[in-house]
Amino acid sequence: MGRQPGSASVHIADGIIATEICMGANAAALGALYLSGRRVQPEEIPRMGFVGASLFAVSLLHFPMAGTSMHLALLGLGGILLGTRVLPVLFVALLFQALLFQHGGFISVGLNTLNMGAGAVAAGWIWRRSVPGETGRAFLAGFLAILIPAFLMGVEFYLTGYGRGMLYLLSLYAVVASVEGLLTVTAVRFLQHVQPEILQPEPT
Amino acid sequence: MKTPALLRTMAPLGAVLLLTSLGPHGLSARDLPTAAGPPPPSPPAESTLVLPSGAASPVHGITVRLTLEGRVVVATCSYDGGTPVAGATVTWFAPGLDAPYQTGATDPAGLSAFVPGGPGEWRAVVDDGMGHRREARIQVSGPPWGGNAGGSAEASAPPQEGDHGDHVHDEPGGAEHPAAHTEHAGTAEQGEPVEGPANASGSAAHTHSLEPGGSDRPWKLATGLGLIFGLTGFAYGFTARRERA
Repeated sequence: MGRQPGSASVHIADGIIATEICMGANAAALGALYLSGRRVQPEEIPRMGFVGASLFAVSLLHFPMAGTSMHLALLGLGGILLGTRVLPVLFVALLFQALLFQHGGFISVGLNTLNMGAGAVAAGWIWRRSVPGETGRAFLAGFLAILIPAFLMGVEFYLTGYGRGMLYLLSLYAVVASVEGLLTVTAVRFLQHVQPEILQPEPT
Repeated sequence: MKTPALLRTMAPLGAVLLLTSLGPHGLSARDLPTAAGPPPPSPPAESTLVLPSGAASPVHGITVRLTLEGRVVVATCSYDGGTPVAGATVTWFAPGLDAPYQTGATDPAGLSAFVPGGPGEWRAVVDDGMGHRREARIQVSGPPWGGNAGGSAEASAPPQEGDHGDHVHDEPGGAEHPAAHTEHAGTAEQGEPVEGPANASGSAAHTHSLEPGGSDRPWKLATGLGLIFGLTGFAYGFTARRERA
């Protein structure tokens, strides 16, 4: 509620996008959740739980920036660690953020899941490309994991009739996305030293 | 792998937290601090913010404006969009008393008038019966409290989901005649700079002013994490059972 298009967050609050669209997005998100979560193996669950807890908690840390505030989302890291399995995790994290902190919206949770899930899944896809340069891939994954949801959100705002303001704000999001990209690089480097196998896709 | 045992112990914790938070007030961790200790005092400054850009707020609240005209206090009640609040119950409270002094109702123009019985700070609680509720106060000076000098106070309800009417936040502001109630002008000055207009478009204003339980963040965070880990335990048990089957 009340979250205005202008805060550097990729959470859409309730009442901003039409309820019909939100409900449609919820239905689509349920389908996506089923597709991404089916045949999940018990060994994957702990990782999903911890990534979910991180996603839930990290967006509550706000940093002032450029007159508004930003927060980290760890979407890129979530996509790298979980691949498409990030969708149900993201959904749960967003649901609890909306219910407990009114961060994002309850009705719009499906839309938010699809927006951010697109970024996170894209990040995982980029990470798994067999292109040399892991640092570059990690940065790009973290960067696009923010920029893609921001772009989708801008398009949704534009289609709803809020004008192009949100799309113009993409430059602001690029700053946030760069921070996120650097953080993803740091985290990936750390994991490569500590536990490299966690960066490999789960055997399914 | 040691995690399964750990997760199995987490599952009951998650279940307990889930049941606790699904109380009569909905999924909210606001009740948890009271169970564990005294709730943190909520500073009034946090709840007294009126977002300057009300248009961005999708949920509308009530604005109550009290003006002293002669000996009569007039309550002008409107929704945030400007629509008058018609047919709402207006309950007047005498200074320092919790029992209702007199009740009235607003007319189609959103107006209700009342003659205070003496000096002091009178309160009006406006309730439209549809989940919108707002309290406003006005300082009535000593006799003769009317005269030419009027007083005014304004209240605007931030949108509150789920707990309509339970937490009425007061916004004494909009002081047009500071002489009539300097005390309230002072309160407004103290209250507003906390989240100034420049900041109100950001998320800081969102999280601190519009959430009634904003000071419960650590508890909510713990609840959310407990729920997530509890769900993880459930999911683990579910998938493991399916594997065995």
